Amino acid sequence: MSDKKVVPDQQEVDRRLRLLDEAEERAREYQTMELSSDYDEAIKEHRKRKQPLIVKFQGKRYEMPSSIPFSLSVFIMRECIQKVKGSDGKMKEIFVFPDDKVLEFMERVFGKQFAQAVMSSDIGTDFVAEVIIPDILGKWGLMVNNNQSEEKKTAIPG
Amino acid sequence: MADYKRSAGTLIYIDGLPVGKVNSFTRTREVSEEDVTGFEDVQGTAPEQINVLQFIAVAVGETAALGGISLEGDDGQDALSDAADSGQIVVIKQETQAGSGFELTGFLTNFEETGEIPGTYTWTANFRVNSKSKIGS
Repeated sequence: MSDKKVVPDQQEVDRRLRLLDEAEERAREYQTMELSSDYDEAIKEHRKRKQPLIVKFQGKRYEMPSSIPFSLSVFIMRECIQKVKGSDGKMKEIFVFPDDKVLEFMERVFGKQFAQAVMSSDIGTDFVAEVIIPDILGKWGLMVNNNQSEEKKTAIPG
Repeated sequence: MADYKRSAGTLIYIDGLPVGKVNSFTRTREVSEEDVTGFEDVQGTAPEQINVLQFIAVAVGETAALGGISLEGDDGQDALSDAADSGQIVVIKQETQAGSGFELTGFLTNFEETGEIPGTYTWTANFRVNSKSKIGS
């Protein structure tokens, strides 16, 4: 057997170096992908599964999100839920509309088009506060338990 | 054909051909010692006399923990895996862009591979350094 050292083919060496550089790039991209999350596809899937709520108002149909928008949850927690001391001395949470936030709240709950339709209609504030808002929040799974709405229950057809 | 423009870094070679890129590299030197304490290596006087231990280095060894990537198949991962199985000599070249650096010759003492990236294997290994030489200028 010869002791002669095998001299590698330079073209083969270069080919492998090029492939290794490409492999390293792939590994780097893979690691970057592993560290990031793409929610766009998940949101599409989520929207397919959850059909929008339809509300009918003055002959028109409006699409509402099937679950409470996150921005609205944050808004409600920050602006609309207050802790008050009840007659039994225990603290309880009540739902309020701060005067200066009514318009913003309406748009966040109803969406701009439906909010516009409600505001340009002649229905009373009591109907909005006691029927529409509790109905929508209820469909979103939010418990609305104001004293007023307990006392005056209005049937919603359908 | 012009030579491929190499990037600086550490590569692992078998039979003169590159089979993987080394991305992490930790070299460790181990020194084996021997106790050569004699009767004369004492301190104090009886009965508080104590021995003062004396050691000499009898062997120096170097190992390296490596991590890197290789190509799928004969061009990389199989060659590395075979080298680890058979104790084949592999060479690690740490090279700067200017072409200078070190060449370490030895063998793999363990090898672990993961194949989760298409076309690319990532691996970790321990490497026993038997010789070391400078390359380039």
